[in-house]
Amino acid sequence: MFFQQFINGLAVGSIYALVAVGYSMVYGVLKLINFANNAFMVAGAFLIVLLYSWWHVPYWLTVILSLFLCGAGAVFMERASLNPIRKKGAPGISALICTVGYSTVITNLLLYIFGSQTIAVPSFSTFSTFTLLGAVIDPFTIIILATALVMMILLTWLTYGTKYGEAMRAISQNSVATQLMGVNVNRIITITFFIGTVCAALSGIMIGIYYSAVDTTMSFTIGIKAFAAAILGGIGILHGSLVGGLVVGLLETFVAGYISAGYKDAIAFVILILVLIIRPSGLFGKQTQQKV
Amino acid sequence: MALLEIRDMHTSYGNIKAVKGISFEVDQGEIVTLIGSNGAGKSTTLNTIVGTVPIASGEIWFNGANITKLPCHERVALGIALSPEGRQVFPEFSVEANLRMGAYTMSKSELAEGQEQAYTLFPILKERRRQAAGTLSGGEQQMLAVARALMCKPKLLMLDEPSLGLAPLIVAEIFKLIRRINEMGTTILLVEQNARMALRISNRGYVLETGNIVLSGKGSDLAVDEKVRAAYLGGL
Repeated sequence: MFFQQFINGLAVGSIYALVAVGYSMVYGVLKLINFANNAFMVAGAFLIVLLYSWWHVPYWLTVILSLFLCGAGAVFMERASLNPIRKKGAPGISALICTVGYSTVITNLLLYIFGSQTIAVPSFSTFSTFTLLGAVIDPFTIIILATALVMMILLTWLTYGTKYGEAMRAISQNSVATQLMGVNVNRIITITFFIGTVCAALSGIMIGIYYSAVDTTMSFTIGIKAFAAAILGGIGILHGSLVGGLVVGLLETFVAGYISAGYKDAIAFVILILVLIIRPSGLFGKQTQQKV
Repeated sequence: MALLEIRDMHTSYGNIKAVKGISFEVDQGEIVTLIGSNGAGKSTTLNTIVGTVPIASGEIWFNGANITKLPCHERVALGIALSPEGRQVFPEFSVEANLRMGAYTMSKSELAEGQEQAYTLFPILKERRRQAAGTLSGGEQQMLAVARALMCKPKLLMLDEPSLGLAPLIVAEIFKLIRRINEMGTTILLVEQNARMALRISNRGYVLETGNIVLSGKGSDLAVDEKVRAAYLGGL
């Protein structure tokens, strides 16, 4: 029972972690919470349905197209709306509301095309479960874990091991000074949106396959938990998002397994609030005092 | 041929005209100073030249090319560097990482070379190289800002108020270093409120008043000019 819950929790948690990374990447550079992130997440799964189930595009190409289209959508949002808002020196809240707007438009567009009912998401293969230490394991959970791990390693390398990553971190400290170093700041920001959204879409696809279903409300139900995971880990910090996602995933699975499935979200969030009271900037967040 | 030539440059912030049609030039190898009181448009001029503030009208020529329409990062790649007002170092990065950012457009070997040079010019930075820039003193941060701007081997180094808020001894040291950087072959455009010091090391100077150039001449001439003395040198 324990091991079973642990494996399920890790799988769900890895998915939250990847969506949380989407929030964190953008926040890390722009101090902006990109609420369109969760809409792009479900869009990722819906695009699999559209391209594979409806249009019969080969599965591997479906995945690539889905990731690319979501990434391109985020790039469009940044170039067409967020960049002009920033350029005019508007307060951060304007950009935030703009991303909420995009989120609403995208989910409504998905409702218009796919309707409000739950739609089956096809998998690329059928898996037969196996038993390990008394737990029934779906091999797809291992794929989820591996994907999340590989993505985290890649992104950590990008952020801390390359000069583009250094430029990203420089922008978050002082964007004008970063420009003075000869960095094409807009390009770095665009790349960040692309990568963050690809992570979110990738987890959307995996959620769809894992539950064999997708509907637009997942944008909220899963999106908000991933957001909580990002905050819990310390938003803007990549390994924080990973740990945050795993903690939220494990927490809710254990609550569902041992206490109550109906109240799992509520209980998970109460625990989150308690953690944040003790560590307001998250598990890995730096406690910073703003100098006057 | 002038290294930098500004032709009838206007810059505005919304409805406020900060620079109202100035023209001046900086020749290869010179130190040129812009002096003027608060709000005269000195910093705006430098920011417009490097491209962090958009130009309203006029032209900027650098090294024989019209760079008026180029974005900031391309101007930096051509060899214009600015050490901005208020230092603007990356506080969370170490001294080393700040210097690395300065060499963003350069190759790995040029980075190593630049670092070597920076540590020779500013030995204190070598001592502090692993320290976060935010924890440095004001003078050290200023040295880091200048060193960082030098990392891209600029043809033109622009310094915005390098002496602001520093103790007199440190100010003297900074000016000594500016002269040394110039002797190593870098052309310098300096903005200063400390007009006396600035004019002493400058070949030429321009006096800005509310967005216009009202006076220009050799540094030594401006230093003894009645009007300049009255307005900027405390009437001595």
